[in-house]
Amino acid sequence: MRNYLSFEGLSWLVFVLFVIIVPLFLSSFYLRLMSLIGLYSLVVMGLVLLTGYAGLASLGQAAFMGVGAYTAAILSSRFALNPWLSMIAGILLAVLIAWLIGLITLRLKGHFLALATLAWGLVITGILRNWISVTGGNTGFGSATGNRFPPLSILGYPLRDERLYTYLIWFFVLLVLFLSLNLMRSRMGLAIKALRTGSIAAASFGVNVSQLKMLTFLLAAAFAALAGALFAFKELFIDPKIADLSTSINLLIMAVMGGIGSLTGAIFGPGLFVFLESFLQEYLPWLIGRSGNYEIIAFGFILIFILHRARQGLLPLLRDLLPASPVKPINHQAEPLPKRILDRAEGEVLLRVDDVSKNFGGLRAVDSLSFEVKRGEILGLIGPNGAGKSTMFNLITGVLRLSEGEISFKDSLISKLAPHQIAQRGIARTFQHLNLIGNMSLLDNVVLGGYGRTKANVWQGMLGLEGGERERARAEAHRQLKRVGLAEQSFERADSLALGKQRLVEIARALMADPELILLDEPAAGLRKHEKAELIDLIRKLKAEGITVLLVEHDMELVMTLCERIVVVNYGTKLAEGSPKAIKQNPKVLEAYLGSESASL
Amino acid sequence: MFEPAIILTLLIDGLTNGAIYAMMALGIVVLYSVTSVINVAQGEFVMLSALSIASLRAAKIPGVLYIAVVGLIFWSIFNALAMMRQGAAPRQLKIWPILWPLFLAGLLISVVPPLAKAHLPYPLQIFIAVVLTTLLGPICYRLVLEPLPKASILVFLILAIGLHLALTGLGLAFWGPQPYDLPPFSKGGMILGPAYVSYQALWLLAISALLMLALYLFFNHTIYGKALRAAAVNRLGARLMGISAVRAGRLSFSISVFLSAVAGVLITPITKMVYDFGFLIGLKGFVGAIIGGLTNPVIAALGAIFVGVAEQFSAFYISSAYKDVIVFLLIIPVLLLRSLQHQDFEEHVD
Amino acid sequence: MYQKILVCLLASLLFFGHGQTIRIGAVASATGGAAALGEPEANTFRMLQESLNAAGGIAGHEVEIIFLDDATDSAKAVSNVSRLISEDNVHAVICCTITANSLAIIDSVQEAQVPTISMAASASIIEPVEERYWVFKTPQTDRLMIGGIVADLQAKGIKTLAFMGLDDAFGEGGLTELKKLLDGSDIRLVSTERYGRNDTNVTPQALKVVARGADAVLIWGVVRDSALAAQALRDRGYLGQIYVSHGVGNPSFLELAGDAANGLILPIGPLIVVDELADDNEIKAVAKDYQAAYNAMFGEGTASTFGGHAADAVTALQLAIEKVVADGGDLADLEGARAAIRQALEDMPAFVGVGGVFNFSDMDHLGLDGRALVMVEIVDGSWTLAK
Repeated sequence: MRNYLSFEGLSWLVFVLFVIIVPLFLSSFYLRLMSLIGLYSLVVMGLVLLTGYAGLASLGQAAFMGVGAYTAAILSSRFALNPWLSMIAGILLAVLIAWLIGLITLRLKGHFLALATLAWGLVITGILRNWISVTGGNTGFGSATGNRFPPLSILGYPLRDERLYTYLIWFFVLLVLFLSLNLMRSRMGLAIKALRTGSIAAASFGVNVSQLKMLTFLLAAAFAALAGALFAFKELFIDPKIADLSTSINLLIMAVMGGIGSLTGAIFGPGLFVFLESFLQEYLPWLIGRSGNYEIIAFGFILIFILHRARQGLLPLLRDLLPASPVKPINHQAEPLPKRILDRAEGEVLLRVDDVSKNFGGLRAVDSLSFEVKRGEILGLIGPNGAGKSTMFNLITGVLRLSEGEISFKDSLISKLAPHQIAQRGIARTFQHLNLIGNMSLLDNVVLGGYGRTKANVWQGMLGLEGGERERARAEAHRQLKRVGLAEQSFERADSLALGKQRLVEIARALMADPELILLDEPAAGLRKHEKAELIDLIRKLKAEGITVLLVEHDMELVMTLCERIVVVNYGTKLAEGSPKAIKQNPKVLEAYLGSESASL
Repeated sequence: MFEPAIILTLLIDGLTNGAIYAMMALGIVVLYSVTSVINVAQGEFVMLSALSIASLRAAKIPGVLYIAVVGLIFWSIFNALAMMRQGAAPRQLKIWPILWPLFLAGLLISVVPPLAKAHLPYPLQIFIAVVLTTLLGPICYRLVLEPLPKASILVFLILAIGLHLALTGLGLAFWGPQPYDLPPFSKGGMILGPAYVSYQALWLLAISALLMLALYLFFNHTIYGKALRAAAVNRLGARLMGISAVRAGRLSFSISVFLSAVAGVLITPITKMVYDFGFLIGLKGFVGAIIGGLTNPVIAALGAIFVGVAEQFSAFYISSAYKDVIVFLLIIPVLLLRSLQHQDFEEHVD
Repeated sequence: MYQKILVCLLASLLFFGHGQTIRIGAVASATGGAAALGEPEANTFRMLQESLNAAGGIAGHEVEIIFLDDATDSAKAVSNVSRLISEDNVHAVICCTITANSLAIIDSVQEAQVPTISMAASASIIEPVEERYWVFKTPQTDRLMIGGIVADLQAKGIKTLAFMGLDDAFGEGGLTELKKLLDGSDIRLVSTERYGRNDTNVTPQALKVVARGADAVLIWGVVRDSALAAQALRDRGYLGQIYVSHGVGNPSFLELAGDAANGLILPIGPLIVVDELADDNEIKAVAKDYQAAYNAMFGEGTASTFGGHAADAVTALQLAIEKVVADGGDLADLEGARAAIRQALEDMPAFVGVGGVFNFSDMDHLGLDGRALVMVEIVDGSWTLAK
């Protein structure tokens, strides 16, 4: 514990001292560069949250800077509002606009946000340039064009000095970095990271995905607007170029250079960009024999090169040289997380699938399918490839909306609920295509599964005020890993494990949600013989603990050994239902299997 | 304000612009469907082909030649590196994949400069420029996109942004910031009812319509076209039709670049051309493509034509200052509609 | 000839041996939106650095003109100026091509107390003089230019005018001045249209102008867009008088606009019709020299009035520095030299530049008079002095 704090504390100390000392020795030009780097860093940190973690891209961050800058400038000049309040107003307006954009695009595929923000950036620049009576148009807004606005001041002391202002900007950079780092370590932060790997997975352990995407987008907009407002009060003169698409693209380049998934890279990237730009500006004209902004050629190629060869950006290459930070140990004495109360009535109907159909265009993937899962049983759902099993899983968990029919869980209708709401009711699942976050430890992956059992909100996360909840979740995750036999490897990266073990981690993560029903999607795929035996033991143990299991599996031996009842589907309809023994002898089943694939039945 | 002359004139000019935007939109849709690359550099090729013709007319070597030659040299290097990464020792390298790009580069560098100096007739100059520009399609695909076959849409998008920056900058380096003009295919114009139409606009409309028709026939009646459509559905399907994902990617990139190159030839006599002029044209094509959901070519083309017409009418009847704002706002209702239609929970991982 | 060069070389060797280099920082928009204006400026700086040094520098000191491109971006302009002042220790700054950037840097140069000459149009860059103590400029103001057009309109008895302008700082500056000048006159502005620098056509704007029935149109843009606008108006059968801005004053405009250029009238500096100027016009010789030198270096017919603004800015600094040195000023003392150069700019006698006769004073940091403006009409595809 102490070790952990001192390492991290030391890095902070070094960084803060650096920020305090360096400006003392800089000339006004380099102070300006440092300020600009700070301002860009603020925006890029938002981009990293958005693109690096949540897997969304924005090509309109500069437009949010523009909104922050212009709102602050206009309010403090035309309406003589206090500069600090104007700044806050600018941030709020940017957040409001981001909310509206998010509302119409976040439900669509991720790149639609990029395209929508691109269009929005062009719209806001168009307005800033042409609404001359309010924004001053292309000529700009500031004292030189008769729109004087006051500088920021602290206790009546105006911050006009370049050095002081540099400190102010970097104070905000450190603050935002601190908050963002905290956030990304918190419950919400882990969930944001999960978005990038797969929002279905995130939703399956109770994350309200659209809300979380929105939250990240709003944060990114707020950071950008903060930077914009700080820029306005620094220059006391702004023009529409600040909101321009080229500025947005530059910000994206900075984020990629620093490593799109790294918050510290969000400071490194702008630094590198600014210095590279002034370097290229000096030497490229000499090379080409004419002056001009030829650095865009270089930046274009750099962008492509980094994505080809160093996707994590340039900073992580350096970081590999440093010793890894020690891991915080698990507090096994932490109070357990609250558990669901299982009102055990063995044999009652837990899940009812009633006459369910799903159409994809003209294709009927599931056709009037009905079956029931009784509490405490292990039910197998089998069928040839393309029979509609995975579609059925997606219908139960709310990932797909059913075309006809009803699904109810514990006698209440769930087929209209969102995936995270269904997860919260006590249905957990694993995935046929593994859905772990490769660069996170097993423990953190499993902690994610407990999202629905924990409560800390985004503010608590940012301020590091999650209290003991996080410790409790870690202890619980460790217990779940122990349950599947992987406690020893808790701190290893998920992608360092063999496929079979990763499947077990997924089960541990599902168990972490404390489910009543667990849906296992081909858990034995890719497992070796002794691993399968372990899996069988594990599933039997779960049943003994009162958990109901719905199993999709191709390995007939495993299905026949484990399941008490089996439902066979083919072409989306139910072919047969019954005990393993009855299924084995059912001629229709035999025909379907031998007809489509020569599986050993 | 509502005389037929005005409405007809606005409509004709709107259709002229719209046809160009439609060619952009089609290029974007074809490429996106097959490779899931959102090519924001679509408009840059408009500029490259037009400025190359301007170079040829001045008996200068077009910059596109240098881009193509350097690109081919890198193609050869990339092929060698790829073989080495697959574990081939330097002696086991197959020689053909390394040599053919160099041969082609050598061929270009020996054939094009004499042609450039030869003061060829205008149609031949157009032909050379369009061929050279189209050649950049597979080159860009090989060098920029192919090295990351499994990248997400977002990574492809950022790669395309890199391509846009590089090509714009190269345009500036080769041609400088000044505008260039090309002669119209036929000078003058005619009176059409109450309005005046330039012959070039008629050429533009006719050729773009023919191209779209050709594209339709290609996709519906040729083996390659059908294979590309299969590739758009899934990669396996494409392979069954006898085309690899790589081939499909190069082919679709070439088609989309070809559309841009022709667009450049058609539009420049009307609008003139500057190094940074292509981007905005490409973006307006995007609005059309988005209306078509990035995947439906017919709706995308119609959407793009609508963008062109809406731009003209809003500039006249609403405000010329805000016409771009209005055009880009068009995508809001489109996205809203798509968002509302959207029933299933979204999976954005690709 | 060879002797002359030899003497120069010897002289320069002698002086440069112990001389203090004079550093002039220059920022222009060589690329981006205002590239058409900024590129000839950038070229001029390169040319003058060579020719000044070949002629023995300024007052015997080697001259270094440090040029930086701002890509028509105001934040970049401020960064560049800040770098020139605090890193390159320049004696004076020449910045920027466009009004927005010139306004954006005012705070920096006022604070750092560095004499600065702008190459942008708006009068607001140098007024009020108390707040622009360190800032001068060389181009004619929009007010002077548009004043010429308004006078022409009045002389022709035209009563209604339409405006078509770029939707950037240049177009905006023109519109603002036009509105001020028309205020109180009997000329009515019947339509105000804007268009983008990269628009594919300006037909709707042209249609609207025609529909409003304006007697004359003022197109306030630069080369490509003005050519498009003039063509669009002619294609719609517009027969009224078309005025364009000095922004088209570049030979490529005649090429791009073709037949549509004929009959256009524009206010511009005298350079463009230098051969037609009367021989007793003091500007003629200076402008001709500049034109010859520029064309020799960058190609026949490429010299433009924009490069002329840059040349005049350099000349002003050259004369001011010569005065400072003659008065015994110490160029090594940077702060003192900067203040002295600024003072010298105000105090020195009037000089003849490419764009006109400049007489800076503590009341007027431009100091141009009517001689800086000619009205030019395009006849048969070439610029001619309007009658």
